[in-house]
Amino acid sequence: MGKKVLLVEDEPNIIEAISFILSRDGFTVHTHEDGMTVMDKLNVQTPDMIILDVMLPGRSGFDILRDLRADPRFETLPVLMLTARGQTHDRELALRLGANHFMTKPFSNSDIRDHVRETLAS
Amino acid sequence: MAISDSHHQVRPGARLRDLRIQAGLRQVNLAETLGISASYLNLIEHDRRRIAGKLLVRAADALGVSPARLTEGADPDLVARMQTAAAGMDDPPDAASATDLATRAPRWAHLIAHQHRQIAALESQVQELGDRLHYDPDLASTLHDVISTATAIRSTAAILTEDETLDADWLARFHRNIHEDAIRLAVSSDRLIAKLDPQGREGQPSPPLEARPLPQADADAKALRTDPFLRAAREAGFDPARLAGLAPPAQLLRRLASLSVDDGAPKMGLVVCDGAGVVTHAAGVPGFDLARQGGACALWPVFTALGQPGRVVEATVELPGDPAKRLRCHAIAEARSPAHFGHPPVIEATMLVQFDPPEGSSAPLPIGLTCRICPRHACAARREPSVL
Repeated sequence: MGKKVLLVEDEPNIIEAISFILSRDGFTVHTHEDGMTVMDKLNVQTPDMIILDVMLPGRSGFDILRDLRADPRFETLPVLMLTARGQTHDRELALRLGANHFMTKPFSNSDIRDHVRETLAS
Repeated sequence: MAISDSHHQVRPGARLRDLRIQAGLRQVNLAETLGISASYLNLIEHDRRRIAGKLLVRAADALGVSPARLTEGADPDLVARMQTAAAGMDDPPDAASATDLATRAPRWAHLIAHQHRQIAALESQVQELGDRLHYDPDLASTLHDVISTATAIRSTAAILTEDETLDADWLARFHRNIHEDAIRLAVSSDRLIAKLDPQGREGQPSPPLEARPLPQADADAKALRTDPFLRAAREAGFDPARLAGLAPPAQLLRRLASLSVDDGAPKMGLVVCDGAGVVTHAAGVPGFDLARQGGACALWPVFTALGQPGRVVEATVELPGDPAKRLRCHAIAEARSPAHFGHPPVIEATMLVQFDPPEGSSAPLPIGLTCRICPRHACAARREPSVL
């Protein structure tokens, strides 16, 4: 079984597209749509990497990232942040909170696939 | 517009014409004020008749400038505005050449200064749109929908074009997704356009608060003529308290806010509300336009002033953010019209907002724009939960 990627995103057709391209590349993709309950999901199953949207129902991706980095189990877990807003402020905040990488929507499939490959190759 | 560079000497007529246009006066109006015919004024403005003596003094007075400004060399304000325009260049021309150009070709010099002002206004508009996006959760949410849908379409379309081995089920699924997203994109982009360009939609939405003219603007400009007031304001460091004797406080605050950054004034904002606390004018304070949609934070001095008419309320306030933004506010509430028997006074509060105040001895007052987007959850003035 390939390395596990958790995709936290609330847009169904983005979920389907990203899941498809990463699954084709050999990764096992789990998805979650709700910001409020994502930490519960992580307590059950730890992925090798998270792709985390910023604007989620319930809680923002920034809040989730803050919680992840405060938990010793997830402090080194690779996190790729996705946001529809490419403002400098968002990028700086994501990186300051401990995101490993930041991608602005709309992104290209190859960018996201290459980044996941690179991150999980090591 | 005819622009002549042929004369190197001062042309009082051209100077007079420039100042009249700047003041927003028509030739016929100024001629009437001066007691001459419009055609004679036209000849003067084209330097085909000389202007001097009492007529020169009257013209200068009508335009709120000194007579010397019509007859002496380069207009110092114009030179200053050209130098401001040049200041942003990597390799600015030397200061002396600005004076030379303003003397020889004042119309061209005005064109440079005017275009610089327009560029600054457009940059400010872009900044305000950025601020609006940051502060307006509805707009941010609509934009998020548009971009998310576009992302889904882009990713799905790329799969369809790049992957030739898709089986029929996936193919049908992705085609359906693109179709659904195309419909959603049409709806969300329509909503976005409606938010950004409400005039382009049906109905007559209220104009932006900033676009509403102040009814007192003309009277303020006459009571405090630009040139002498700008000089006095500069000397007082644009501190309203140090200008107190010049005019009633509300007029002073409005007039300070009307000064142009182009003329060397610092950026200032103005907020006016009626006795019910409804904001009727808000200019130069990013995000304050939201007050119309969601109700402004009750802690702003403009609302505090409503409770103590006639007293100037001064406060340094701090907006949340990273970094937090400090503002210096002066506000006063006063009756908008003379008192009448048997009728309650109509109260209006006016607040001048100045940016980047010096560090003061007392701690700034923590405030927000509106409760909906304010992170100060424990605030005593909170009237509804924050979405943050």
